[in-house]
Amino acid sequence: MPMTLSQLRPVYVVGIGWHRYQPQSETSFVELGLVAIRAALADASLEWPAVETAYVAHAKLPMAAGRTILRHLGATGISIVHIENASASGSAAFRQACIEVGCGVADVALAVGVDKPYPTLLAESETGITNLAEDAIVPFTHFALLANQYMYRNKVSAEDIALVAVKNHRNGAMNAHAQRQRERTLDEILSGKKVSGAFTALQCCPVGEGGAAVILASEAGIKRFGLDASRSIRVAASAARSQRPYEDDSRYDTYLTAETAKLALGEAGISPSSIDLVELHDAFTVEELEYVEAMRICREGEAIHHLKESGFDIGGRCAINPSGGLIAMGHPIGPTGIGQIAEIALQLRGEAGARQHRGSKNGLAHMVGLGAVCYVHLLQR
Amino acid sequence: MARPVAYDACQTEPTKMLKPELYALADDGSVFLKGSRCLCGRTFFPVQHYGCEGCGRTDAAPATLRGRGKLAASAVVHIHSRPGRKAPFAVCTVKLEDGPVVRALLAGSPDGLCPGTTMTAILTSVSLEDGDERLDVRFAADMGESMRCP
Repeated sequence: MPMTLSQLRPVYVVGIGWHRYQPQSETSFVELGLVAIRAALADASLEWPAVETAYVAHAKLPMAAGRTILRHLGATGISIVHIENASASGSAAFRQACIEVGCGVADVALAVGVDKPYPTLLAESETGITNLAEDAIVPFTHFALLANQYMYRNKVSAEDIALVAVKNHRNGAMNAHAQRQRERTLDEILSGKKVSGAFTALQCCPVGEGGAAVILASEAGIKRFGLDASRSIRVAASAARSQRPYEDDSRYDTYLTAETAKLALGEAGISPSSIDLVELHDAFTVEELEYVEAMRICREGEAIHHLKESGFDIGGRCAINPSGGLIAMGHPIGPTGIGQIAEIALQLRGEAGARQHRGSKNGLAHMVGLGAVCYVHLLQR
Repeated sequence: MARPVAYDACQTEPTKMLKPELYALADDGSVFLKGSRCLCGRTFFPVQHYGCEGCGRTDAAPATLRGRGKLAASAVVHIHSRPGRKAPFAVCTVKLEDGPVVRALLAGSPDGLCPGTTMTAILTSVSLEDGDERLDVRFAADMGESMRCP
């Protein structure tokens, strides 16, 4: 029988770090990566030579970026693997690093995400398969169509959906690593630049640049390097799936999220009601509603009700996107999934300051990526 | 500006389709989509011969899919950066009577259209960058089917 991550050696997040997510600038990707990695090493109180293997996530950097960053930490000759998995590149790198530590090939691993918004071709446009309106339906319109369906199905308004952005901008305003750090009123969000369907600009994530890094270790690694076990956060489950045929193929992100979250929760042996906080792929407001329902954090059609009752706020029943989510934190692609893990580790340690969701024991990280692919990780204190 | 074209105009010039690999005219003048039906039971659009997503077989048979279905969603796109198409324009998701869910351009405005409205594929004349004209598919609400959303 194949094994799950939870059946391997226990894996812990022992260090976290970011380079702030920001609009495209003159800053080199080398600098973005090094700032995040050095912050993660400092957070773990670990020296670089202790790291035995490195996974570098990016979707938009040119080929072979990893060693151009890592050599400046002192080239120790370790294994370097690049991982591209669209929006979920960081989540995929994290999972592979967990597996390497879990199965005993390494005791200390780095997963780092770095990206700059260089122009990139999408494979789907190169398959030779045309469609009726492939040039007209870019991701924000894909989700605008899903928002239209969500509003009709659940009898909610465009104003209701925009409340997701109000919450996530409020959380981002307290996060020094977020690209957008300003509270926004519902009026400001609704009166902004129209993008597609019900979406205005502040309901869509900014794709900029940044870096995020986590250091993972086994119990042997924690012992060997004298790391602080009380600040180590266990990776309780890791699940990864890709799209398959569904009854309504246009809602694949939701169905994919439902089956991936179910796998991860089953692996950890916990119920959705035990989840204290969630970092999820809210590239567009409606996604947060679709996914909390798909994960069974709340019942289908009830996400707006919980949102209005402050149930998804920091301090509420289950904090959704306390970092600000993709909408406020930003979505530099490669770093995004790793930044989610770092936020959850920070929260579970109780070190999140003004953003702290008190008493958190179980955190869930979720990403979908073009393709589509989906990742769910559970972290436990 | 896109405008609907009489069926007989396109029947005389079938090569003028913008994407002839995707759609054509039936003998009765209606627009059909060129899909595939696999032995596993999966019907899909558009045609591709790499392999069926349901089972991996590579011998799916051509299937004529009627250009009719129910509206599942619609949206007006306000920002569009790709060349060759000027915003605003409208798009829709349609669940075809013959199975597949397709996404397409919508003829006119989605105002007043609600999910469940019966939609039909029509041909519309579009101007290319070189000034040439081609016929392309849009979905339009059936006459008398347009209703106010509750």
